[in-house]
Amino acid sequence: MIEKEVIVKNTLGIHARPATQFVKIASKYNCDVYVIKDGVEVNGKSIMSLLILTATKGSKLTIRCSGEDEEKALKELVDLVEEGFGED
Amino acid sequence: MRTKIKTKIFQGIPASKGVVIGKVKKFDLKILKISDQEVKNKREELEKFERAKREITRELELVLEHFRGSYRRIIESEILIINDPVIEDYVKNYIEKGYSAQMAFIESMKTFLAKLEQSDSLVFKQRAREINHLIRKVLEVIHGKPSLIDAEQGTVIVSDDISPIDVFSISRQTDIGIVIEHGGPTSHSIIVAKNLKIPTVCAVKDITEFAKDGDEIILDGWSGKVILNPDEESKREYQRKPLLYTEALDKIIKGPKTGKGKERKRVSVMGNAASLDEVEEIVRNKGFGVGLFRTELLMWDPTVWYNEDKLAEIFERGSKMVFPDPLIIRLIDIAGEPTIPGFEEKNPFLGLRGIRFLLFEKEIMKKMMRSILKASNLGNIRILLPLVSTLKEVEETRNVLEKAKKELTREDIPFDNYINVGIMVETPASALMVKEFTPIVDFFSIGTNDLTQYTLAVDRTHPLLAPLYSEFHPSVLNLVNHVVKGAHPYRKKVAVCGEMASDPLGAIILMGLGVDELSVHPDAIPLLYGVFQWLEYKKVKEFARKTLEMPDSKTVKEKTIEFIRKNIPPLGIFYE
Repeated sequence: MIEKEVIVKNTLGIHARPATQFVKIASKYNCDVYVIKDGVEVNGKSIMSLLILTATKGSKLTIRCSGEDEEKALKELVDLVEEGFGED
Repeated sequence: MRTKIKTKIFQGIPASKGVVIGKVKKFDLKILKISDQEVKNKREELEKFERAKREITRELELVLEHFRGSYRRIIESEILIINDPVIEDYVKNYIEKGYSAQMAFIESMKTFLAKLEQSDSLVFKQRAREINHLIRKVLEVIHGKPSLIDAEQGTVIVSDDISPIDVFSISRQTDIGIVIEHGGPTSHSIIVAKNLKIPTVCAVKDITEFAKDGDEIILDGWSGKVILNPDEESKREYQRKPLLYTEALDKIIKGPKTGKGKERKRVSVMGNAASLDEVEEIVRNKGFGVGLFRTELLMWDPTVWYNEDKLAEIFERGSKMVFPDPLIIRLIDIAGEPTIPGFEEKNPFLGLRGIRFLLFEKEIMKKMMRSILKASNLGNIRILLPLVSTLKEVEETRNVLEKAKKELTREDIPFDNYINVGIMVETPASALMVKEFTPIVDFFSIGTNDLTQYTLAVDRTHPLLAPLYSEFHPSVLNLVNHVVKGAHPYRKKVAVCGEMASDPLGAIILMGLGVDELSVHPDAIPLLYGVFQWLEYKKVKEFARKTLEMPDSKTVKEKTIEFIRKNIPPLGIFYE
């Protein structure tokens, strides 16, 4: 199991479109993906769960991956969040 | 021995133009039933849910190929929602507790929707609408409603009603049509069908009772006629019809041989748009600017909606495209939509919508005002306020506008200080109070769809009440007349932007009542300009005055068709 802390950078935070992007990437991998915010842990392959996390700009998130392809998955997801989901 | 097949002719309301000669595919499960009985066979319920999931995913994936931009993004997130692993766990749990597949899904979604609701009211409201369509779709498929995605070319879908998702799924196919037993021409699904150019007739009484799968059928989206099991002669006739219609259109647009063409300028024909693509179509069709720019679609993309400058950029591009003609921007109107049990406003059409919503969320209103003002430097943008019913609403809105202006002045950002503000007349209250409104507004735009529903007290999306809903009801016409009579002495212009204006029948009456501007579907602009060339204002005025005293909408329509036959002979073919 590996994990990394990231900060949400895009102005609008994780609304429907970024959540869609996140889940599409997470679902490509076999490993389990979790996203943790303020002690609340949700399934990173669940779009509804990500939406109710209400991660706004500046939110601190921990992405945790666990499984055979965890390294690749974690890297791609961290990059996505750090690049602000390709928004502003 | 061959049994004789009986031909049957139905008359509905034409909702989207075009002719289809094809075969019936029934799609009618009357009203959706949700089973809330405790279930015995849990595996069967789970399998029902899994099957619905697979079917809808496949359907949405096929639909996806045909869309780009915001529609594509919506469909993508729908696919993820329906395949959400956490939702699936919830559903399994509920089924384990003895819930039916449908109830298990509703309960699971409710948990999330309730949490989402607390997060962001505006974007959420729009999201909730799609999510609710999706929920309904899942419930229908579990109930056994077949998928439409495999409909073949030449299929005519016959149904009691249809959802926007289903309209999207048949849009991949060409030469396909829709016949709906209930539902009025202004429901959300019909508007989608119209935009996707799928010939559609609605309010066709008893059609689901008579039509059987595989029956031959003719659908005429021009006249609203539907012929079941047509004889050879009508088939031949309808094979020629599209050509006859195009020829008649050409004739109408060219105008009469004798020079009556002077009336063309009396009414300005403008276009309704919800995106810049549609603005472009209006310009191509030589419309007099945009009479109604709907802003609801901009909300689909939060990166635009929350970014004042990006929003301003869209308005500014629109303003340049139509310059020097006007671009009339309507502030966002969040309207009532069908919702699921346990998650609804009791009476959405009488609820927090239009200007009421915006005055409740003044920050959103001010932000919209700021982006409109920033885009207003060419001087051709006007602001339109949705669903106004009291003077106070206009005064309060003006205060917000002044605040936005002050802020921009302080920030040294230029704008059109004399920007015009008008109101949508959609309630009998604002129609009757027109004189009182004139000193505080610059123009009026009558939204006949809502005005009709509020005047006749008929929900325009109600599946069983479509026959009661008609813009041609004399009560509605009298209100339009009252607005024109009240506004003109003060030199305030009156526009109409409802469905009624796009139909030559309605346009003629409105012209006669003295309406200055009609804002219509972009593709109806050339036809209406054509129609007006044939008319003599004096005659139309005289005729329109008579409609005010007719007893019902049926008489008004019949007399108007008579008037058309006499004055615009080639238009008659559309009303046979």
